[in-house]
Amino acid sequence: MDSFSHALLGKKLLAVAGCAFLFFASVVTVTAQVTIDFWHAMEGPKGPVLKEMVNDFMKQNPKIKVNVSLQGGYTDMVRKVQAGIAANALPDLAMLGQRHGIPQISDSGRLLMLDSILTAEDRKDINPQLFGRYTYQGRLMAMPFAVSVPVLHINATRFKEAGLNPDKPPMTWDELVSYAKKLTRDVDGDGRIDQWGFHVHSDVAWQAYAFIYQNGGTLYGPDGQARLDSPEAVQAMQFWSDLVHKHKVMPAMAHESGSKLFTAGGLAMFQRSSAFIEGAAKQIGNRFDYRVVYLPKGKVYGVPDGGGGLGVFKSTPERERAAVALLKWLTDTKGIARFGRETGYIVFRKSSLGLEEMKSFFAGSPRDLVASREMEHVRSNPVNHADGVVWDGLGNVVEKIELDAKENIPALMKELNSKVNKEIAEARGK
Amino acid sequence: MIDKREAPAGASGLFANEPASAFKSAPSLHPRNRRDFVAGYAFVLPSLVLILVFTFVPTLYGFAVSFTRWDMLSARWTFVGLGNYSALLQSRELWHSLLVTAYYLVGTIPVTMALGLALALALNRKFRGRAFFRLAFYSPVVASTVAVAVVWLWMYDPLSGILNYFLLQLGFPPQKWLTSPATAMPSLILMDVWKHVGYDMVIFLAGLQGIPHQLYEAMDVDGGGRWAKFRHVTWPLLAPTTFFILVISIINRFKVFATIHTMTKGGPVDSTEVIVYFLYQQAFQHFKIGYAFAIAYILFVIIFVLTLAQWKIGKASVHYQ
Repeated sequence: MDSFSHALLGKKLLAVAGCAFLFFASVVTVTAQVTIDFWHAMEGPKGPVLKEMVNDFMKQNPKIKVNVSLQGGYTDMVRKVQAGIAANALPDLAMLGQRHGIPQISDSGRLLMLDSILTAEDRKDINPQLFGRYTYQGRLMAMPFAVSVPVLHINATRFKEAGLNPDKPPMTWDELVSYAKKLTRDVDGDGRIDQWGFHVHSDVAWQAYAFIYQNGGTLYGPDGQARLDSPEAVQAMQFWSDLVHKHKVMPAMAHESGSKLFTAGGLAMFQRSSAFIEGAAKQIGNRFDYRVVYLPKGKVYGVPDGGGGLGVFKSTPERERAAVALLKWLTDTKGIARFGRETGYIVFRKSSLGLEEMKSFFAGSPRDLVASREMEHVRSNPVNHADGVVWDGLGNVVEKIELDAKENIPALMKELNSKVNKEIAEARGK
Repeated sequence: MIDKREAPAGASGLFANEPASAFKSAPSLHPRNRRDFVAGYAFVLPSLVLILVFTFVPTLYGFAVSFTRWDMLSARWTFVGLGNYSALLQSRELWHSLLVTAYYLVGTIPVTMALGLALALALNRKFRGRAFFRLAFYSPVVASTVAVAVVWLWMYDPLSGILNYFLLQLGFPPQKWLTSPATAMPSLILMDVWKHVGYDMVIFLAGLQGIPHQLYEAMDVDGGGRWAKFRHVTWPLLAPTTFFILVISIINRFKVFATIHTMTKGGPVDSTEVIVYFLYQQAFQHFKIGYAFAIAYILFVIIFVLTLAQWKIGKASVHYQ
């Protein structure tokens, strides 16, 4: 081999070594960066808000890369997590919590317990009732995040037309009935009601929780057994039936029509989630005076919470740390304030409410302020294996009592109660 | 009228002239033929793998799971033997959902097929705008099921739907449509017929065009009227088509889910809870995967037995020319 070849070989070696160095260097920088997956359930314009927040998080934490993806609504999310557990393809952070699935997902052992990341300040800052929906067997499975509560959406223009003062909305069930009677009218005189006094949204089970809580009832007792056959719960469903059949202020079997009816002006009082506020305000525009007030009180104020929390799935220590960092960032004082301001979800941290920016925001959005304030009346039941059965069962009871004024409500609730207890016993036996 | 002796075109005759031992003799093939043999399998391999992984394996896996109590999420599962099956056969819900499914089948299939045949007969004749009508009746078939369901949901809305608006304008009482247990299923059936009549029509059209003209000409010579032509030529020669549509329709209607999920969620008061929706609720709302798989297997057995019976009856009464 001549000297020229040697020189060439030397250069080649140098080049190879250089490439190798560059390669390893890039590997090192890549490993220093953590990539995590975040599944959310924010359909519509709320999704981009969340994505924008995550982008800002990544700017502040350049070593964490977050893949954000929409998985559909909460029900789709549970299904996808179910499949993800079976296929061992779970995200690092996921929005969980609505209606059912938390106990079952927890049983998989794949969720990271969040009790330890909650500081004493957090505990003081957040209404303890909010943790109920995310607590299973005494452990915190998810952190409240996109929280909503049912509120009473009212058409103040119709109130004034009927001689009612919208500044004094109904406070009790009796007042609700008397207001609704005045607001239920046959405007064009064709013998058919074209303006309804009161209606509830199609998530009837959740709205039924509110009725039951307002009457001093509960879904489950401290012993973990169902309480759906209690006099409080039965009376609450009787009141529901009366609104349709006795007082005739609520249309039967038309919950899917409620939102359209309200925004079109044909409904005076509409019980639906606070998450509806933004969309309703946009659709209504200046056509009528749209306001939001507290749900009436029965014997007590009773407001169930809804929406979703954030859960972390177990993975590697680096990814878990990154997911927890994102979770903390999204749910800290600033995160909750920003998310609430831009989406209409409840600003549930006292410290967030104290921020200057929130004060000026609420000054311009009195409807959101009402929803945030109503939070102090939130009640929640700990999650239960039978939540899905309660949800379906109450929906079924509502259909039966709306279809038939003579339905035997105590018997229906008793039947549902034993069905739920059977489910609880089965889950315990597992 | 039809000579049944010259009947070689049926499915059984398709491979009649090929050596039955083609596969068995493969190892002793000439090397070049063997290469072809390998290449042939290489070509079908991707779909074979897909079918194995996504159809056969889950099917067998599901069969195993149907003997357990499991929520698909936790690592804990319990073997319950035939427990799921015996619980199902004793449950009111299974029988109720089967009844509801039967209602759906009986409500949709005969009407869709009769209308499909009538449309096919009408649109098989030559007239101006024929292509337009064919397209118009077929277009619901290709429209997305969920999108169509949402549109019908709006039309059926008891308070602000367009159907009740027209009824009122015409002086009829408004209907409850999907919101009453009595009318929910008929409303779903109405939509199903509208959605699928075009499919039956197209298949019947294809069948009609396969009928030789000479037979009708012979009927003209014999002096047969329109009804006689239908009765003695069209109907018997359409038998394979009719039979095909019937089998496919029964299988498809048994599987109905998307419209139910979008429009009624099985309600009001379970009046539209067909068997697949019942299965879905058990699997994904109540997390009873073993139970749900048992439902799936019961459904499988029902469809299997029905199809088998249809083939038996079909063999006796359907003649492939």
